[in-house]
Amino acid sequence: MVRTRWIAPLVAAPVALACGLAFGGLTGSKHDFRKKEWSGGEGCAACHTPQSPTPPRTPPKWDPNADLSRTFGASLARSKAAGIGTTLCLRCHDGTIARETASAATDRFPNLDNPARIDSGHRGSDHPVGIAYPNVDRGYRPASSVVASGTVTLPGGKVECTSCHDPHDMSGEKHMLVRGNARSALCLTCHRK
Amino acid sequence: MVAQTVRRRDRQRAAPLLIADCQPPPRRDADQRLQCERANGVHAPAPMRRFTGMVWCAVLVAGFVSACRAPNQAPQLVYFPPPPATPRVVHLKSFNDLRELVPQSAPSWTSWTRGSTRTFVGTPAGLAYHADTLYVCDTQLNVVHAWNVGTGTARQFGADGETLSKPVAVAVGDDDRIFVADTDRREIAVFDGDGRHAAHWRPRAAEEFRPIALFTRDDRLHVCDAANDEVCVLSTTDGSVIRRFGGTGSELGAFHAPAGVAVGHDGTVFVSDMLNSRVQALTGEGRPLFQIGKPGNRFGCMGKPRQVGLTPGGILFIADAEFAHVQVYDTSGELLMMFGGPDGAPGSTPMPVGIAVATELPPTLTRLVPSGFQPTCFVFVSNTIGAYRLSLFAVNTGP
Repeated sequence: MVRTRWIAPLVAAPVALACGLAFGGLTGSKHDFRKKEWSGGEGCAACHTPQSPTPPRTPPKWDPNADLSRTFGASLARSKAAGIGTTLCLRCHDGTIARETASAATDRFPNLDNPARIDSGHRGSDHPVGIAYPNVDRGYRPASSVVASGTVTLPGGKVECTSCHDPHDMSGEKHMLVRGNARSALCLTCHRK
Repeated sequence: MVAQTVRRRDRQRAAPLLIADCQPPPRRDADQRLQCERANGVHAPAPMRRFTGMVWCAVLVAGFVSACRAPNQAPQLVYFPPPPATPRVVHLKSFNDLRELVPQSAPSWTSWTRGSTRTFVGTPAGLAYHADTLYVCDTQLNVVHAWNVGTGTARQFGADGETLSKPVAVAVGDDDRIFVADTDRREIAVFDGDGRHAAHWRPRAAEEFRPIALFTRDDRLHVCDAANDEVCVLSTTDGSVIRRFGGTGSELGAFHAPAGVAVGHDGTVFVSDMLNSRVQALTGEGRPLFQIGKPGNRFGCMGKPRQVGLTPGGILFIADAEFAHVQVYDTSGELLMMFGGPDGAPGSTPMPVGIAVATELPPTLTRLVPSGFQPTCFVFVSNTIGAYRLSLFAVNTGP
């Protein structure tokens, strides 16, 4: 009984702390959805669909043996094509809901006849996401030094949206970058020139 | 001392000559150099030659055997739901290129003359199916592919780089005109059946309009406008506004990011309300009837519903981009099943965003249906990510 009394605060405290820290940066940013009319004051739900606390409802009529891990397990699973640091963004940033668009596919057409026609990433520039960091390429710094910078991240050894962007906007930099890009400082974290 | 010298000479004779030795030292003459080159190339040791020959033979035999076996291999079919439940959906094909779906495919002559000869898709978004033709919005190549899956002919709309900037949704009218929602130009581009740009419609000022989903029924074009969180009903004749309904909010009848729309034969409008994690059913005038789904990860819940597809019999397909599956409901809102799944397995739908329902397909595709399975409709699904961006499923919606 004593244990159960402590479980809720122990679970809730880190979550509240994380949300509080996140919203410290989110306040006033483009991802601050609390003020939106539709959100009901909940700022997280737009990106982080709340987990249902209620027991499973009636199973599907045509699939009575369905279990939740099979049918709803994908939200936490990492796709082979891209990590959660990209897939979560692409749910909106695919050219429909959010204006800034991204595509996880730029590595698929390295020899396309006219690559200039590909609008693969940012508006006006072109940066792939969901690809392995080119650790052995001389044009790039070693992954270890990139990670050691403390700003750019390479989740799972891949370049994801969250490598350069912080969706919670903790840095307060323009375009939600993880650090300022004056004199291409952010770019030079990975690129040698 | 003499014995040591002799042993060293013997070692020198026995030691293989290396590539580095081929760089002629000054004291070596031409014969020595020739001998050195032969030692490294033509005159390899006999055991090595035998081994190399065996490897080549093995490679040739393996290639021959695999080439002979390939046509006889049965395709790997994935059924949903898995046994022991009665199969309702079977995955027929995943593809990025029309040629993977219809092997004899080729770009049409008009495509050749216009310089757009691609038969593959970059990043697909909205889909539509009409008269044996699959229409695929491509937000990477910024064109709309029109693939005739009966003849295997590929065309492209907007390949001139001027008429389309970011096509995300497509719908086809009864008169074969094609309507394309362009979120970058914030307009609806209209093409005639031959692919010529005929008009562009913008029911509001550009900064106040952002079309992200389309559906045609009779002479009405239903447009989901993300800028105003509303559904705008236009006349397909001239693009004039017939009515608008919706608005920003979480209550019934309001939307946040309406990302898909479909209209039933009885006039019921189903709108995918993406950021409210639900699909709403409304009357043709916009009066809310009921909602399907709510935020969560339980049966009857959904994450990020995108395009919706509707069969004439009243089966609703909803692409859920968050949970990487397609949810199937009847028009009363009862959950029937889910199919697809995360990346990696055959039949997966890593991030489904587009759906097109076809009641019948040409023989070029029905050949893929396994014997014993009686499909009542077919569903094309597009994915933003994944090794294969397009998938085709056969569905049995019978009792």
